[in-house]
Parts: sequence; structure tokens; C-alpha cells
Amino acid sequence: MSGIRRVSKELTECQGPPPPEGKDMSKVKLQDGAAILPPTTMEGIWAKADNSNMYRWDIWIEGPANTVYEGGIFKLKMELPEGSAPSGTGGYPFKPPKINFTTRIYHPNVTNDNTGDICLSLIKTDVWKPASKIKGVLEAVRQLLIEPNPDDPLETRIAEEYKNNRAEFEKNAKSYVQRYAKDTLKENSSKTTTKKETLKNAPSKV
Amino acid sequence: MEEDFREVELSTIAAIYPEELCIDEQDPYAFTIELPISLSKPVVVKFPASSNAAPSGQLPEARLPTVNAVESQQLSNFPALSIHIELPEGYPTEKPPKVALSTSPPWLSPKILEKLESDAQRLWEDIGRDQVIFTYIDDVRQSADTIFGLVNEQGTLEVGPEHKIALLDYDIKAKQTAFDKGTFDCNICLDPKKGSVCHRMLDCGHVFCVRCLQDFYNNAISEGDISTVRCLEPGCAEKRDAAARKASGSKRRKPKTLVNPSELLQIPLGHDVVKRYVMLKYKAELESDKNTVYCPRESCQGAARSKKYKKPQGVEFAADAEEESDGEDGEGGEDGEGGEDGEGTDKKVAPLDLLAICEDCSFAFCTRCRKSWHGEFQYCVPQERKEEISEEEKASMEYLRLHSSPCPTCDAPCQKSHGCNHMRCFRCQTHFCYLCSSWLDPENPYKHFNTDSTGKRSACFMRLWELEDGDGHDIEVGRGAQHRREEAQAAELEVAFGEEARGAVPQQQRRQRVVQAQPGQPGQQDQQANNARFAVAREGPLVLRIEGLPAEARGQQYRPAAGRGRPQVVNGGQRGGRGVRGQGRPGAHQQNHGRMPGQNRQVNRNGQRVQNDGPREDGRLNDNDEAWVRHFVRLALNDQEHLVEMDSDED
Repeated sequence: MSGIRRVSKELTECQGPPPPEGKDMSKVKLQDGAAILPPTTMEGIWAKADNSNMYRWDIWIEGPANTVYEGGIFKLKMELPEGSAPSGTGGYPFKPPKINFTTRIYHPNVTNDNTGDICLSLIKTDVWKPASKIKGVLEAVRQLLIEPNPDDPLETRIAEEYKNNRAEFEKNAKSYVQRYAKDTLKENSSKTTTKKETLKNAPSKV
Repeated sequence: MEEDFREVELSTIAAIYPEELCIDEQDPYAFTIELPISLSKPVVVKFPASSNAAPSGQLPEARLPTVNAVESQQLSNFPALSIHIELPEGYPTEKPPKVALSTSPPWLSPKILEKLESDAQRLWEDIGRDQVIFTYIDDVRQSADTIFGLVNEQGTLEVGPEHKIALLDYDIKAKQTAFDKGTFDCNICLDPKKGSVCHRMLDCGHVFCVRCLQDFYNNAISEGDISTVRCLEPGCAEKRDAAARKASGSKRRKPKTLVNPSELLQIPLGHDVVKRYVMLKYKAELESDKNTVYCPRESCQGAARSKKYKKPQGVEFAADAEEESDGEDGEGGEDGEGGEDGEGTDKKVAPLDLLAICEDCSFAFCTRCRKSWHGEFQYCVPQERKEEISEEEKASMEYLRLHSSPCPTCDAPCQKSHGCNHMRCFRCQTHFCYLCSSWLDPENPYKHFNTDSTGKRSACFMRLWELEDGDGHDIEVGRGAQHRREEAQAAELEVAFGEEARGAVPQQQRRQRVVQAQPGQPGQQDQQANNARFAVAREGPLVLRIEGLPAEARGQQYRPAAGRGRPQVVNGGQRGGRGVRGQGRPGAHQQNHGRMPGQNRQVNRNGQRVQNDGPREDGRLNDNDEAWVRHFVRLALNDQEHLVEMDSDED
């Protein structure tokens, strides 16, 4: 299974060696839950593989500074497709990873629902190449927070708002950060919003 | 004493060139050194045609236009120069070393070799009749860097054509040897690998390990996904593709970035795999050509022989059909039965163009009437084959109708496997909408799903993500595209209602109406959204689905509650959250099959019978029905549909 080898290498590439005491961590003014973050080589991104399954990763992305997402920590889940037995080929890295926000986010390129699908060309099946790297994917996701791409939207309404009514967009995005992305690191408080809550909270549409 | 000198010098030289030096068996003072010629920068080598091969090295450019056969290659490795040196008695004080140079093959002209040989004596004199061997070898080595001054002002080197193959072979081998010795990081398995188990892509030079390439390409070819048989580096093929497009101007060309079959064999891939790849590629080419005619014999259905695309025999790839050079001679005779074909292609008389010969079964037929060839003077008409459509054909046509959308440009039926409704045709790259098959502006394809500048909305407004999980998983439930296209005919209606709904309906009147008409017990239940929780899975305006289906499709009365390709996914389901988005919108999606004209008699909540007209052939509503529907919807939006007069369409 060369797939596993590659995945663990990529994980190492993303995590790097443990950082010197307090250095990387202190950058984020984190709540009590900061301990769950693994070391990282990337700016504002942390990645950790599931203990029992290398093909499932937890990702945390810090809302980049000077964006509406600043101050939030967004959790994502990434699943690498496993190849079909017996050859094990046909899975990752031949097929692209699937990555979703589990923390809700108000963004033109992320579905505004529990699934948090991301529209990222890099991981579309026809664009993905086996030589693409997870690190690149994660960095692209973070880049999407810095620079939404309203011309290729998943949420057409939010995209319109982003283009035509930036103030309203920012207000909504910030309120989402306040509501959903603040306590991400407190373990077991992963705010999986129930539907009811969503209904109540969803900003009324114009 | 002299012997000592020779011996000392020899052992020194042997230490300097441990691998290249070879001492003669007969004569201990004679030896050969193989001097490899590798240039740091490749030089352009020209091979003039044999007719003027004699004077090598002269008249390079002037002759070129007349000589078509001149080919140039960039080479950086040349067959080694072997230097045979004999140290005679009396060397170094009295006699110069005896030097003989040669190359195999003799690609260097004797003149040059002579000159180099005479250099030995000159150097020996210069140095004061002393030990000269190292100096001499070094001198030859240095002049080899410029191919002994043979490279002309244009930076090209001419070599007799008879050595062409040998030189090219040598260059390739030398490069391969160098490559094999190197170490590369395979970007797929991320392991460092020796060059000998790696492959360098011929077109772009990216290196991957053979194992990864085999895994990937074998998998892709066995899955039939040949469009991915390209360089595996992100963006590489796309970049070259774009560059090629740019270079060839606006003319649309098929991307040529697919890996060549011969390269696949080199990797190496199994012979049968490559064969399959070639066949798939060939089929894809035929399919993408609208002019392809298929054999009318039901058991065969091979493609008619074409001049443009040659059926591949084995793995050798029929000389790049992509070249699009239609002018070449027909090669119909390739499998020995091309007699008629040859005659046919001789003259370009219109009727003869009707003759087609199946590539697989050699059946000669007329492309117009699709019967066996009747000669060019017989009048024939295209065959209507309505009545002979078999059940199987019918079923697959029906499937296509329900679960695919035709490309607006080439009419190829496309089926969406997942994702949004912005489609790109696999054949002609047209951008189109999966829901209504409209052509989309490649610059801004999503406009179609949004409000345009004038505020007008298409029928697909806000429906970009309908059917996200793909079309056709649910064979039972037709939510297909042709079918949607028919729907689109009622688009104005939809939009009109959408507008009304928007203005008129307060939010709390969200209302779900789901009709479940099981075969055998047609019935209808109205359900309030709050207790039934059926999907409100869309955020578009109120859309009234007008089911104007032809009769045969109507056996299926049950439709999914929303256009998401699955029936009744309750909101808590996997994608349930989607429905949420619609919640804030006034007016929910209404499934209104039970009331549609053309349905069987339906019973509404109040037990009244509804009599509907028979189906109209064109799938549209008659004016009466339309008025009734409008009226009904208006009432329904106010939760007053029970007030509707059920006899309004009785007349």
C-alpha cells in the first residue's frame, strides 16, 4: 500500500516537527482547547489524521487576519478516498480528497449548511492530478477565506451579496464567526448545528 | 631509463582515466582511451540527404531549401572518440607518440581525425619533446567541447545521413544512462527513486516512478477514463493544451496532451492495456465526429471506414488522426478488402459519397437509406425506422430522455454525475445548463442561474445546485433533462408564478403539497409542511411543475418532491440542510401532479373528483388548463385551494 505511505508523508509535511515551546501556539490567542492542535508547518492551518484511520483528517483553519473571518477557528474534515480492494489503486492520490467545513461559515464558495461543501477547482475530479498535494489543497482553502471567488459560487445569493452589498456580507459573515467559529477548539463542543437552530439563526433573506 | 619514463607516464594516465583506459594486450606501451563526447549545451545536428553527403561540413544553409530530407535534431551526446596511443621506443625524448583516432560509427570525417592526430606531434614539439600524453588527451577533450570546431556559425553541425540512426540512438542511450543513474522524487508516491525505475514524460519532462504511472494509467484505462491519461503533474497538461490552442489561433483543436501509446509501452504498460487505450481513443474520436456513420447491421454496429480516422491495428497508433488533414489518400485498403473502397474514393462524385463500408464486417451500405449498397444510380430515401425500434432501444432512448441533457451545440447526450448544473460538453467543450440545455456564456456561465443585468430571471434562476448528486441514479424516477426541457417550455409560466409568489405570500404560509399516487390507488394527500417535513429543497421561486409528458412516460406518477434527483429526502438527510435555504423564501416548491391535466382522475382532499382533459400531444397546457392552474396556485398560496371550483375545466 504505497497510498498509506504517501499519506503519512504528507501528514509529516503538513505537521513538521513539534514546535519549540509556545512558539507556534502562542500566535493564536486560543482558548483552553488549544492543546488539541498538532504542530504545523503552515500558516494558520493545522492538520491531524484520525488515530484509527490515516485517510481521515481533521483540519483547523484560523480565520486569516484582516478578513471578516478573523478571530474564528474553522474546523474541517478531510476524507481521502480509499482505493478499491484488492489492488488498492484508484483511491488517493489518484482521486482527489473530499474536504468539508464542519464549522459553519458564511462564504460564497462554501455551502451554507451542515455539509459545508467547498467549491475548489483543485479538488474537482477533472482537475485533480495525482501529483497534487494536500498541503496545497489546504493552503488553497485558506486562500479562499482571504479571497472569496464570487464568480464561481456555491451560494449564489451570498456571492451576489459579496459583489453588490459588501457591508451586508461582512456583517453576516462576522455574525457567523461569532456564532459558530469561536469555540471550535473546545473539545466536544463541535457546534454541529441542528436544523432547528439553523432555521432560527439563518439571517432572513431579502 | 626510457622504459621507466613510459611506465611512469602510463601509470599516471591510468590513474587519471581509470575507466576509460584500456592497455593493449600485445603491447604494454600501447593503450586506448575512450573519450565520451558530451556537451553541456545540445547542438543542432543536421543530416543532409545522402545525395550531397560527400562534402561534409560545407555549404550548410545554402543547400537547405532544396533538400527536403534534411532533418535536424538537438543532440548533446556523441559516440565516443577512441584514442589509440602507442609509445614507441625512444619516447619521450626522441620520438613522438603514435596516435590513431577513430569513432564508431565513423561520424567524424577522416580529415578532422588526421588533424587531431597530427596535433600530438605538434604538442610534443611544443612541450620540448617531453611527456605529452596527458596534455594531448586534455587538449582533445577540450576541443571536443566544440566538436573540434565543426560547429558552424549558425550553431549547427552537419553529419552524414548514414550515421543518423546511430547518432540518435547513441544520444538516447547516453541520456538514458545518465537518467538511470540519477535519483528523482516521484511526486505521486513522494519517495525518492532511482532513475532506472522512473520514467520521464516525453512531452514535458516530468519524472514519475514507473510503479505510480502504471498504477494510475492502468486504472484509468481499465475504467475507460482515457481523458486522464496525461502528465500527472498539476496543471501541466492544461498549460500545454492552452499554449497549443493559442499557437494554433482561434481554431478549436482537440487537446493533444494525451499520452502517446508508444510512450505508454515504454513506461511500460501491458500490451493489451495499451491496445485498449488506443481503441478507446479511436472510439472517442469517432464519437466526437458527427459525420461518423455506423454499420446498419444490428449485430455489428461498427463504424464505417473513414479516411480521417483509421482503425488502429494493435497498438500502433494510426498516425495521429488528430492532424485533421483530410487531404490524404484514403487508406481503405489496409485490411485487404478495400477494392470497392478504392474505386469509391477515386472520384469525388456526390452519389459515391453515400457508399460506406463497415470497418468491422466490411458490409457495404448506403449512408442514406442504410441498406446494402445499391450502386450510385439508384434513387433512395432515408429510412424511417420508427416501427422497428426494439424494446431495448426504446428503453435506452427513454433513459436518455429522462436522465441526460443534450449539448446545445453537438447534441451529444450528457449525463451529470455530480456537481452543479454548469456543464461542459465532453465532446465540443460547449458550456451549457444541465437543466434546460441552454448555451451558457463561457465568460460568465453562472449568470444563467442568477439575475441578469436587466433583472430578468431565467427558468433556472437559483437552480445551480439542483440534482447535485447527479442524474440517473434513480432510474425509477425520471427527473431527466429532455423532460426538463419540456418543462422549460413552460418556463414563462413558471417565472410568472414565481413573481406572483414572491410578492404575494407571507412567509408563514410555507406549504408543502406532496402527491403520492401509487399505481393502482391514485390518491392524494395534502400535508402541511410542519408535520410532514418534506423537503423544501430549493430556493428558487415557486415553481409549478407542468408535467406535460407524452403518454408512455406517465406510468410513473410519482415524482420526487424536489428536483434533487431523489425522492422525498427528508430534511434531516445527508444533504438536508439545503432545504433550509429555501425556508426564508416566500412560497415553497409545490408538487402538483395530482392536479395536472392529463393525469388520471384524481381525488382532492375534499373528496371531489377532478376531471381532466386527455393529454395534449405537444405537452403543453391548453388555455383552460392554464387559467385553472393559475387560479389554483393563487388560492393555494393563500391556503385556500379548497375554494377552487373543481368544475372549471369540465367543459
